[in-house]
Amino acid sequence: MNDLDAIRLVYFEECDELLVELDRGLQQLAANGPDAETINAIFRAVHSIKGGAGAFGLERLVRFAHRVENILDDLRSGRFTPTDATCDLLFQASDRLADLVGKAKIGDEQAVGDETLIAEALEAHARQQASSDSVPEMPPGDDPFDLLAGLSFTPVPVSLETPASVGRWRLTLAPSRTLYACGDDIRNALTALAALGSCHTIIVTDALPTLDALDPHDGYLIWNVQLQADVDEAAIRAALEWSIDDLGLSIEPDPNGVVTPPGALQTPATPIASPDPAPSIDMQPARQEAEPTSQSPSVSVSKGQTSIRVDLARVDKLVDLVGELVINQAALHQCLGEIPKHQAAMANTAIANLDHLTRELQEGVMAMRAHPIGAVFQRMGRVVREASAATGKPVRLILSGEDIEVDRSIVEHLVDPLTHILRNAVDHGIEPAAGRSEAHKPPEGEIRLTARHRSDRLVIEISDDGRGIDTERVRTKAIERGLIDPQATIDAAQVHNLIFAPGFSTAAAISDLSGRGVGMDVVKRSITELGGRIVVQSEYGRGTTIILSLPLTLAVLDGMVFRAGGQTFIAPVGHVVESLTPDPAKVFSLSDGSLIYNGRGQHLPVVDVGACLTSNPCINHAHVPLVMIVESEQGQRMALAVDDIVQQSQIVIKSIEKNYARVAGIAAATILGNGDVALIIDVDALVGWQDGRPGHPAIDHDRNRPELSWT
Amino acid sequence: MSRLIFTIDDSRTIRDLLRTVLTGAGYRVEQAVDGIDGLERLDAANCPLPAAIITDVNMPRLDGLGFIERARERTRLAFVPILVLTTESDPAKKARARAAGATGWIVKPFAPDVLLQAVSRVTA
Amino acid sequence: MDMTQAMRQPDRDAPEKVMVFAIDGREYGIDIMSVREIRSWVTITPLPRTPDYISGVINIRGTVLPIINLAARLAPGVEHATVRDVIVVLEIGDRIAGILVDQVSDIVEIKAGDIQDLPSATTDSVREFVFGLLTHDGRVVCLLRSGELLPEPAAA
Repeated sequence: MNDLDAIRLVYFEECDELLVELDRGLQQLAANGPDAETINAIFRAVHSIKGGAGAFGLERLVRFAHRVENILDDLRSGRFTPTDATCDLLFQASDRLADLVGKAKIGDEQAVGDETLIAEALEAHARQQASSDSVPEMPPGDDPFDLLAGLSFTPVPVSLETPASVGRWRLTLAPSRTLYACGDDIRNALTALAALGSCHTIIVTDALPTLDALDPHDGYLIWNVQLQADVDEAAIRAALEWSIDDLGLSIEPDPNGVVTPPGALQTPATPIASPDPAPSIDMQPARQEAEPTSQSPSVSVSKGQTSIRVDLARVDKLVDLVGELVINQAALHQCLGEIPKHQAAMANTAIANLDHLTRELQEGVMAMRAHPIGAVFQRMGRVVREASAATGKPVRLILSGEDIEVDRSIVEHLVDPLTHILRNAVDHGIEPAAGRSEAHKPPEGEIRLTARHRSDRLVIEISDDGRGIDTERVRTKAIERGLIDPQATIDAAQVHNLIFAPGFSTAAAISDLSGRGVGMDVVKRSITELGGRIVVQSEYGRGTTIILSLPLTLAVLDGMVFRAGGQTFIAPVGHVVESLTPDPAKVFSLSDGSLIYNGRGQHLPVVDVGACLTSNPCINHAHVPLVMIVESEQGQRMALAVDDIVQQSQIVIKSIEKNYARVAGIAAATILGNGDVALIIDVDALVGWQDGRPGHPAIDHDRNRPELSWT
Repeated sequence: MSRLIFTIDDSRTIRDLLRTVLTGAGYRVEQAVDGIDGLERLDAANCPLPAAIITDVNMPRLDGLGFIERARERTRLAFVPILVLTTESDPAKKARARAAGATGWIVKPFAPDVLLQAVSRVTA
Repeated sequence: MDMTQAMRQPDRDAPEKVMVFAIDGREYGIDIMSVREIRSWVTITPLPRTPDYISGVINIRGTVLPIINLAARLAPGVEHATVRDVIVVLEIGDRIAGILVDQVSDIVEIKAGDIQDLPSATTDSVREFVFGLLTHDGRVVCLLRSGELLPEPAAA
């Protein structure tokens, strides 16, 4: 990748951030009305998108951004007052801007819809507002092509009044102190002139005061320049453009040619490179190739020195290495375990420090991959707007927790599931106007999208105030479809979660239960692929909440290492409540042979891990040696019968699915200190297993597809 | 030691572009993200005097013109050439930049040659 | 994964070289291009509720990969020795898996026309995994389609 490609990537990355800023600004504008800082932020976002687009020759993007920017400039300078309609149009413009950026990213700038309609609508609206605000009509926006044409810092305007090229000019420069105050130097002007042709320069020192009267900040010298160049006056003025007002410049054609009076000082007329007469929009990194930059393109200082931008692949490499480190550390622990305790004391202290450092290193590296979820949330604003427009139902999206940070790989994979859930919520969750007024709900539907941390997981909630799920209807359908036994007693929560069962329903089949069956199995699948879980809660008539729970990282987790059936397993610590040797008096067997453990007043099903996951049961003649109480994501507790608890330890998650397939009851694998593979159990999948077999179909509706996997 | 160019822009894209073009031409580059950041960095005791400063106009916290005005108040920076990056080709805006104390301006989008010429013109 | 290894696509129709190995006295050949390495004994961690030809998973330099008991894969339902000494690590599509064999005997260069079709009477259970026969030193070598050895991810 060359430097320019690398910067191009930076540009699009930055665009994504700017679009988020833009969206956030517009939401603030819509919610709180015009405020200088908000409008400025909106303006800057569009402005920066335009600026970068210009650098990469994305003309269409520049043109559109420019027109939007003009309107924003009018807003900024108070030429008109924004209304709801303004916000709507600006949201549309922002969406279109996002489209254009998206298309430009894949090099397909032509294939976007006609954004000029939106620009025109926006301009017409601004004009109308401006006149109704009884402010003089705003001037038409600059033609954006002026910008593209004005590439050079020395544009060469064609002036019809200027006489044709003469060839010899006499110039007087009597610079004011302002010239020096601007960090300028007469030398710069002389160099610019020397670039036009040959110069003979005479310094007039007449005005120079005596030393005691001299103000070092003032200019006392006058330069007379005889310029021989095939240029017209306009070109001379253009060459001096920056300082023209401070040079005390006079230009006249020189009829006499070159005269060099005796004693006059001459400035060396070393011409610098002549100005590029036809600058191109395309940036050609020709110079960089001639002299390679010291800076690697994949690492560049971003916000001064407070942050750096690093190629994701490098961070991923670090993540892998930290994983290896954790495994090697486990190996060290194992070696130390074989040395007599009194000899290992010092080594144990050292390795305890190493544990601490490794953990910090791991957290540090993972923090580098952390990404605020706001970027995804802001995109959902558009999803809801579009769904709202398509269905004709007014819906408001309320975001919170946008600052919550989560591993980048997870952020990226949340877009599709969230889009799906939100569309469903608008389409099927929120009632049409009539339904809402009947239910005494405000006409505008409300969807809340919330993110928060809960222990070591990210929890995202999508809740709507729509009609909710009709439990009876779902139940009936599920029975019709043979998904549950008609005799089964299952609670409302379990019924609600049937909507995630593959092939459960279609919108047509259960149109008035919110139709969430459509594709929800697909949503569930993508969430479980991220090691996440999805749960639905609903109150009929009041609304539905979908809760996603995701790991914050895909690489390392705190695990409880235990033995069962002669094999080593890991349970994610987040699921483990406690482990204990059960009092045999508190273990009861039911008529089907299954066991119940009565702990702390709760009757918990006993699940024999040995029987479930190996061929050697842990329970012998109803004797339960050791239980580990675990809690599923949905809060169901059970007592896992195990042989032995080994230790708590940080483990690296390794996918089984990558090279094989999903395995029921197993979330993933890890590598132990001795290099062997151990399996990480999937607590949620084990809920309801009996006799080592997957349990009740109502709960374990997708027993063929275990719930957890890591990649 | 190569000459130092100090650049101020809130857009990472533009910062990267500036850095690439300038370091490619053999300059050293220090960067800031807005006017306040720029002043703080330039005021830092260990910051060498740049051969030139390039600043964007439209930035949060302190814009380019505000930056120039404050920079000119500092003895150390009073005579350092400052180039303004601007997408505006409006003469009035250029005049305002000059009045604030800008040495010159570069119209965005800029070709690398144009940028380097502008820089070499004020650092000659 | 090493790039050069990742780019190798075993061409099962025209292997240039095959690696020959023995299981239960029969000889099989597999395209050398799909062979990543040969390992001696490592601990295999059994996986619950998987087909009986899946012995479990092993760790090779940080990658967890399944081990296929090839004897059981090729002849399901028959009693097989479960302990074998050699694991041949194969690249199968974009997955990596090991197969258990008794020993690796040879690497054979193949010229055009060396490979013979299976007799027409051959059953589908053989055809599923074997695409041709090779005569080598007077012995018959069954050439395997590595792509069929692992079940589809979704079907497992």
